[in-house]
Amino acid sequence: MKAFVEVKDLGKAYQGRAAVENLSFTIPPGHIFGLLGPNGAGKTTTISIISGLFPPDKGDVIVDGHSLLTHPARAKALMGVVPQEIALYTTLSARENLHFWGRLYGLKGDALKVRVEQVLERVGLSDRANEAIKGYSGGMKRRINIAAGLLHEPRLLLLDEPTVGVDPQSRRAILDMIKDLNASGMTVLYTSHYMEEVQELCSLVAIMDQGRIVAHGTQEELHRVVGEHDLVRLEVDPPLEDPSFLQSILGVFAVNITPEGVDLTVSDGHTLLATIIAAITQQGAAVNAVRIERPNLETVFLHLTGRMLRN
Amino acid sequence: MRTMLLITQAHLRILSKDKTTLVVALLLPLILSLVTGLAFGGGQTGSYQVNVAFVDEDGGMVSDSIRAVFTQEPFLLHETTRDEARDLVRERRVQVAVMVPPGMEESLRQRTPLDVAILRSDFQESPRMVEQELSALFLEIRATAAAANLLYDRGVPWADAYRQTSLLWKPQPPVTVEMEGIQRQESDIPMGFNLASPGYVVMFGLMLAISGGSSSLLAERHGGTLQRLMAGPVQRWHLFIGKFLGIAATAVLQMSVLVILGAVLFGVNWGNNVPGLALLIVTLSLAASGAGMFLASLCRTSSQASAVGILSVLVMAMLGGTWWPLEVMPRSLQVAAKLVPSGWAMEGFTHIIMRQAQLGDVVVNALVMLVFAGVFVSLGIRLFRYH
Amino acid sequence: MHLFTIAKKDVLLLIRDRKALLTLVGTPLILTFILGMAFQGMWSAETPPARVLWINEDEGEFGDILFSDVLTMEGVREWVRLEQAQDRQDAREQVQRGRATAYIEVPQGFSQSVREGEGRIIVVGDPASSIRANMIPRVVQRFATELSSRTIIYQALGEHQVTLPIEEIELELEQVEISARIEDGFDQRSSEVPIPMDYYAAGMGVMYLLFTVSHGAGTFLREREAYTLHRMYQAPLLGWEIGAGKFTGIFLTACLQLTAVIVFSHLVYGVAWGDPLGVAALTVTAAFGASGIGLVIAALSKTQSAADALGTAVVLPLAVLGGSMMPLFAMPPVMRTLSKLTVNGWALEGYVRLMFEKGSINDLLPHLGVLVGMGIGFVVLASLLFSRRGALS
Repeated sequence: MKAFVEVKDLGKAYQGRAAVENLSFTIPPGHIFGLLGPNGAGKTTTISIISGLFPPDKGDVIVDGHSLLTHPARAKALMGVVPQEIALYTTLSARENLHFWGRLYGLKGDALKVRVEQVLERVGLSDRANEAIKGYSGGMKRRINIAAGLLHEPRLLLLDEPTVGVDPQSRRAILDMIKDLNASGMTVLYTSHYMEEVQELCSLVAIMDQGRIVAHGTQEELHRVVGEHDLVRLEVDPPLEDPSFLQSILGVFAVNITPEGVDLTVSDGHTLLATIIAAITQQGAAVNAVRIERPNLETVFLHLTGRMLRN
Repeated sequence: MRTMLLITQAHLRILSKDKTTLVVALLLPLILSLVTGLAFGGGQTGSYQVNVAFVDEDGGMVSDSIRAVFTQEPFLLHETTRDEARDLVRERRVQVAVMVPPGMEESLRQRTPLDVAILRSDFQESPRMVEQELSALFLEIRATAAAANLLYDRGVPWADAYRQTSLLWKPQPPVTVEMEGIQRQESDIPMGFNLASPGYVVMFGLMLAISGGSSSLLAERHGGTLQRLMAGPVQRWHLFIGKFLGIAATAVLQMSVLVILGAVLFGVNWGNNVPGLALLIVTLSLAASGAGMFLASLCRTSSQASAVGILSVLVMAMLGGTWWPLEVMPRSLQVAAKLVPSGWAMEGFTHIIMRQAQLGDVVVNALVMLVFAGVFVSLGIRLFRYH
Repeated sequence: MHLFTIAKKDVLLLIRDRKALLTLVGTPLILTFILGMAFQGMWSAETPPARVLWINEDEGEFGDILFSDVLTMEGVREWVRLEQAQDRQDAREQVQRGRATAYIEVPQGFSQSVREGEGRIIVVGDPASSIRANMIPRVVQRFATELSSRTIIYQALGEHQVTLPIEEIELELEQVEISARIEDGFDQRSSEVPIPMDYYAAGMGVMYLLFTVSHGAGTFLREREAYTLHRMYQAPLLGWEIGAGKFTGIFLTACLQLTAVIVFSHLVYGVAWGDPLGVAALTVTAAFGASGIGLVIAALSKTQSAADALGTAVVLPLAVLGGSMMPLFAMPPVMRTLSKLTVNGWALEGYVRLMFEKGSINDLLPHLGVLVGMGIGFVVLASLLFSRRGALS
């Protein structure tokens, strides 16, 4: 299958510190590609480079055969960008904002009007489109923020953490909308540090940490990296100071202190649980709650980096 | 008392840490003293020059005496023709053209009226200066010509009679006026040079304290630090007075920079009475900071405060007589000057800078400004919304 | 053109921002009104007369003539309030303290010494009063010269052994007439004196033009803080279109603000701005030059609040130099030279020519040229600053 987006060996450094390094991946058409990683992993830098906000120090991005470096305008015209921030004019109405951004993407006249109404319909804000954005709730602002990226019917949609600070209902609506858009043929690049969202949406996932991609593939391929491992999450009181003794238990692969207690990646949670609890009790701490989770992207990340996504 | 001073101290410390504010707080007086310094610095009067195009179509003894006036300071004479003089004036290369018509001596002798035309290039004062000089000279010429005419009628040749009589005016006329304390107006400014320096110190002093003070207070409310202070065991008015003193201290510093730099670098005249000057600077700072605090209590945001602040400073500056001398303004405005701190400050600075007043002469002005400060601050305390 | 899309949006943003609009258009009109009112009465009968103290120790007639005829004649008595002083020292001190404008002393034996050819009158003026204290010695000086004239005529006649009755001398003096006449050096007649309301309408309009561009600089940084600038860079535009669009936005809002001040001041206060074509050309070029300053302020600032602060620090001194506060034609020479370095100085001088000298667009060619040139210069400077720092950081 021919790649729709090809990211080739990107590198970008700020003041001598590498933000992304040797970054390469491809997105075939029609996929939702998830870029997963903790805050500061370099997701925003990556998406900023792809969207043409600033050039990379090295490497290139090819969108549908157009190089971002040599033909930025053509490549940008194919993309719709939804930034992490609410990048809108809060004193203007939603409709005025959309008109402005639509024009910048080359829409005019009746075509522009029609598209603005369609997009407003799509995000469910037609009835409040003449109000100034500053009166909107966080979720409504997010939806207009997305709408502004959809006006010119882009073939590639870049979304940078579009659900930050949003109530559960709006989040649901946003996720459903992305699925809809994808179903109608739009390729999507989605970054998030919410594992659940990526798990739900994305057919392809790249896991980023400290400016590099540590693994990428389909979700099944990634799960296989961990093998048949379980995540055992324990609430411990008082908190453990040095959990290294847990590492010596056979079958425990990774140990990570959490605010509540400790997370462990283990070969088989159910058989090892008794041993683990005994070891902790022996240290003079009590286990208050136990949860065993099947492999997911969180476990993959933990396995690969020894750290949790949300730290 | 201690808590108030702690807040004052905190205000100053915050100011010294905040780069933007600090730059502006120091930059503004620096730029302003540069402006005033360049404009009103020493050695100005000497360098002032009025370029006069002189057209002599008479070529006689009388026009020579007119020419002689413009060969002295501050005039610079350009001998030229009528057409060229018109061009020079139109292109503003000279401020004034003086045109002596042909047959001047003849008309004096024939007793026919005579006009000397003065062409001015714009609204500057220099044409008036030229007119005054000429009017004075024309009185002399008239008397000299009258004597020559009377003698001519009795057989003395006119030219001889005129020359002899004109010598009687030298080295000085029989009746003289001895002037003290009057500056001969040598500049184009109707107010004279020295009025300008007190005008600027008052206007800029108000500007720095009012706009800077009110916006810093509101910025603190906006930034939430005010709420934190409120949460502590501090009484509200302590907080307010503490901030007030901090802002006033900044204003004193800024105005001192303005005055000292102006004096040291540019030789701006601030008078010789240093204690009096200091007293006025401190009390003006207090009054202006009080006004700033009062303004802050009426405004919601710091941008609002700076917009209203600039408006009120300009109005106060104008009413106080910092742009134009009060002496030429209508009575109602002369009264209005007494209702704003700027008017009292202006009067105090004028006393010190131009009338060589003693410390005691400006005590009333200082007291009135303290009253203004008190009124503004107590209104501010009542009206300020802390949240 | 994307440039105009961005500029149009900026104009829309300003129109929506009621507070900014009120500040930028309303305030200059308020200030103009106050200033115009204040100076309307200047030099009129409304101005209280100057207090003049006097002592006459002369036994002869000349001292009397000065105080009861000369200083009470029409044209002088309106602005002088004569008051006989009791004590010479006290009178001097009152003048020194500014309680009286001047003190005139005619010493003992004055009339006698005039006849002997060496009279002397003393005038002490308030050093802080440069206008009125200057008018009094002028009147006294004129009186002295008149006395001198007669003394000298007697002397001149005496040298030729001619004696004539005083009436004949007075008759001769009346017949000799020589005077100075002030004319304008322009082809067109100008109004007699600048009208304060009109001058300050232009002065305040131009000052708030600077505040407008400084506000425009703030919106540039606001776009950066709100990430809408980033979003523009992600749209398929060329880099220069964004910068040029923002500049055009500042420029259009500046034109709008200045036009609003001109139109309102004309309609409400009846300010006569002069030749419409000249006013239009000057307004557009002044807005262009000022917008350049706005762009430089934006390039030098990191945040919107920093731009506001820097803006104030730049605008106020420029307003002083440019003649918005103290009139241009009343400035000391150095200030007038410095005002030639400012955009607003050139703009204001241009408006003054149109208003009071009945100038046309042809008289403004240097102004238009300089304003456009300064605008281009500032744009180049700002582009250099931006390209060194990057527009986004």
